[in-house]
Amino acid sequence: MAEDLSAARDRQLVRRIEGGDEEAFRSLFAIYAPSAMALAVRVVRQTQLAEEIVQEAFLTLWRSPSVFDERRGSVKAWLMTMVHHRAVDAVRREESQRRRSDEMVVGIREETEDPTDAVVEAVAAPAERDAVRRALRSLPEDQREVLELMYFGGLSQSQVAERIGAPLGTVKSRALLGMRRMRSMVVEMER
Amino acid sequence: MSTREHGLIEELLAVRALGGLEPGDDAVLSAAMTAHGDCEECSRLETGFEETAGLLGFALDPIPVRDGLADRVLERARGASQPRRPRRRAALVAVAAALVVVVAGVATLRPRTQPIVGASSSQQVRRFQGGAGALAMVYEPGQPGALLWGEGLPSPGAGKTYEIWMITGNTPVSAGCASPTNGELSAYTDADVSKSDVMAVTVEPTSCPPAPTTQPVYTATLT
Repeated sequence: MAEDLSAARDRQLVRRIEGGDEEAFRSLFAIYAPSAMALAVRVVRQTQLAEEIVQEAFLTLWRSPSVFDERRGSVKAWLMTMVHHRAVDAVRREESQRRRSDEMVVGIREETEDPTDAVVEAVAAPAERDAVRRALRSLPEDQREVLELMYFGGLSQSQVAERIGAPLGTVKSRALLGMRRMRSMVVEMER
Repeated sequence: MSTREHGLIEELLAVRALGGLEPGDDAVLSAAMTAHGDCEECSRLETGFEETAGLLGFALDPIPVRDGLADRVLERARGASQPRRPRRRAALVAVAAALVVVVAGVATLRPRTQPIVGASSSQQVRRFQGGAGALAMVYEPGQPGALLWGEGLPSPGAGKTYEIWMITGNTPVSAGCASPTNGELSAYTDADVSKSDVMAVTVEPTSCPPAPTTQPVYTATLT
């Protein structure tokens, strides 16, 4: 029920933004910019670039709120998807991608425990964060590894295959199985 | 429809939602979905995977943003310019240089590109964000006309085309349709880019509808 209310609140804020309501924009920004920043930092590993990405995503929201289609999902997922696309695009543009990835994977292996193992510490975390973490944690290790390298690491499927030493088909299968499972858990959580 | 075809689409949709597709895969997915035809289940999967991926980021601990950043975004929207980082500017200059070559070639064929052929210091280049490949635009502020140029772009699929939108406020106005050839796109629009806030590209039927029917695959902020 709380989720329904927050989703309705977000849709209402977007409608107000369509009318040029700056306070509505500031409200939505205050709610989601910190999570957007966390995602951008995780993918691009540069605070300044991450902040620029967050600004661009919210600028797009301010300029074109009518692009949001509530039939296709929630405001928060739409916002985070905009941030993720920009972050991945930025990573792929980096000339030093391969070297960066080598350094990053070490970080990911250490930080993999962040989303999943920090549950105990997340006493004050919103239920949503807790639920997403639990869902990730429930995945088989090989599926979770692929999802995290691809989504949080910004690696393409070929790069993931090279990284974990598995055939490309295996990477695709693990991504699909992991996403099926996440979808059933996370989307159900949204209802 | 075959089970194999459906499996391929589902697999690629899952990987795309995670940001893991490469340009060639995007084209394969577009082609497979086009060949597959209208598929309610595919739409449901696409929406579900995108929503799921969008929520994955909430597993991370939020990072506070600096005070006043929301107002900074609003200032940018009002037209305040933001200093560019040298690395990005260098990239844009490289794109601009490439565009000048393309513009020169197009100008031979299309005299209307003449106003933006000269590589003046006021020439503006904007890179689109979003889908696979690279898409950029060059224009001269205060003058109508802009040239879009892209490479490595996925095919929009059979019976589909890319449609370019000039968005002012919340109102999208079509600037025309174009499709890449072998991933490359060179298209001119005589729309006045300076009067728009955002340019966006959607995948549309080749009828080039007057209003967008899908979500943008590329966007570029013009401030």
